Amino acid sequence: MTSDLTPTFSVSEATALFNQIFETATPTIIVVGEVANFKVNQGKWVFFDLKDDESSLGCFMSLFNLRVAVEDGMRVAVTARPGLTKWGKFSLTVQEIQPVGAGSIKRAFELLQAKLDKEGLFAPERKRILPELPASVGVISSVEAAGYKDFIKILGQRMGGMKIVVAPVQVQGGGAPEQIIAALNYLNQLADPPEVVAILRGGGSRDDLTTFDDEVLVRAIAASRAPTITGIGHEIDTTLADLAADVRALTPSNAAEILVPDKREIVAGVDARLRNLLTKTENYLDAATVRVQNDRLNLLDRLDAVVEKTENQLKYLTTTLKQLDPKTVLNRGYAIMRDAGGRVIAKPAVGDAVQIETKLAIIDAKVKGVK
Amino acid sequence: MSNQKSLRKLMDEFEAIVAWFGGDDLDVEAATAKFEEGAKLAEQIKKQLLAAKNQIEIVKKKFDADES
Repeated sequence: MTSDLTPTFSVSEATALFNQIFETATPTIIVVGEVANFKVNQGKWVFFDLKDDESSLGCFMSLFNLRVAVEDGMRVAVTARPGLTKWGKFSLTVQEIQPVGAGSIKRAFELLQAKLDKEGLFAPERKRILPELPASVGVISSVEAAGYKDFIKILGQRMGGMKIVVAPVQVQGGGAPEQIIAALNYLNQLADPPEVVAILRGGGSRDDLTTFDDEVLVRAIAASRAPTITGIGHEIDTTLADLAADVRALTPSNAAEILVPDKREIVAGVDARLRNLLTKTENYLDAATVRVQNDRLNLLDRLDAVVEKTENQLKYLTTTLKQLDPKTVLNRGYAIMRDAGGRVIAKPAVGDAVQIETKLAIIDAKVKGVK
Repeated sequence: MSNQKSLRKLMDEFEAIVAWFGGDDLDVEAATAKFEEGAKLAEQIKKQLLAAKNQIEIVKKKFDADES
């Protein structure tokens, strides 16, 4: 059957030739099957068989590339290069492995969750408190997504004056976890890193969110120098990234609400407290006036009037501020009495020179009698 | 100093005045002065809160695994 034209090779050459043929014909393929004989050697190398009812293929990968939890019986899709080992064994060199089907995805999630939980990555005591009024916010998101736009919009409605550094990444598909990790590293190593990092991904099916169940990404979030908040998917979705973050928001919009207080609430709070101070200040002024007038009944009326007036004043900020001026007390017909040294006094002695300030004048007077 | 940092400072100063009013033995002069100070701070806080916009910077870098 041979002829002079039949090529002759050494074993190594033949192996190289076959590998060249594989490389040309099927450089990278995706193979779907069930995992069997899964094992990790020397903490570095992963071996398993991928099988269906009729056939079985040997698979090999580095542990570094294994980003999801895998066990025997799980249905997976592997992205791999086929080839011959130097021992002539056919094997798939796997670059990426993804669980396939609801059951396997769920199982992979549970396995990894249990593993990371055991390591304490999700422990409540690891959670840091986010700054109350962050001066800078890092954002990791796709900038095209509606969730991102909502986040920026709501953040702007609630609070201003922040520096927002946005790292645009792919949040879905191959390479997405690496991009998010690179973005997180980038933000963390800035000379002036953001005070908090928000990792966002708008809605989508639960399968679309598997990026956020990537083991390396989850570890990077847990190790982030800047505190993290996640707003991923819909309210009902929980990813491992959510569990590792310092704060988990339900959606990107919810993340904006958690990150910053509403400036309108701050304004209302400041106003309320200022009004309280006004009441106190007026009470002191009243007390001083009353000591001069020695008219207790008048004081009570006066206090009622102040309370009523203050309540009316609360309605509008601008009006309030104008009326905050304690000189309004003088405008209402009261007077402040000071001694020669300019101190407010309540009970001068007979013969004392005093100064009385009213709405319209400052009167120098001499005390004729004191009751 | 960023807007936010000066806002925090203003808020702290305002808090300090509110706390001052919680003390005993206050006199009218001091209360009046403190109140005026508080009113000014409140005005500044509101002005800053309502005027400030966020500054958004989108990083141009491509975040790929080999560059991380």
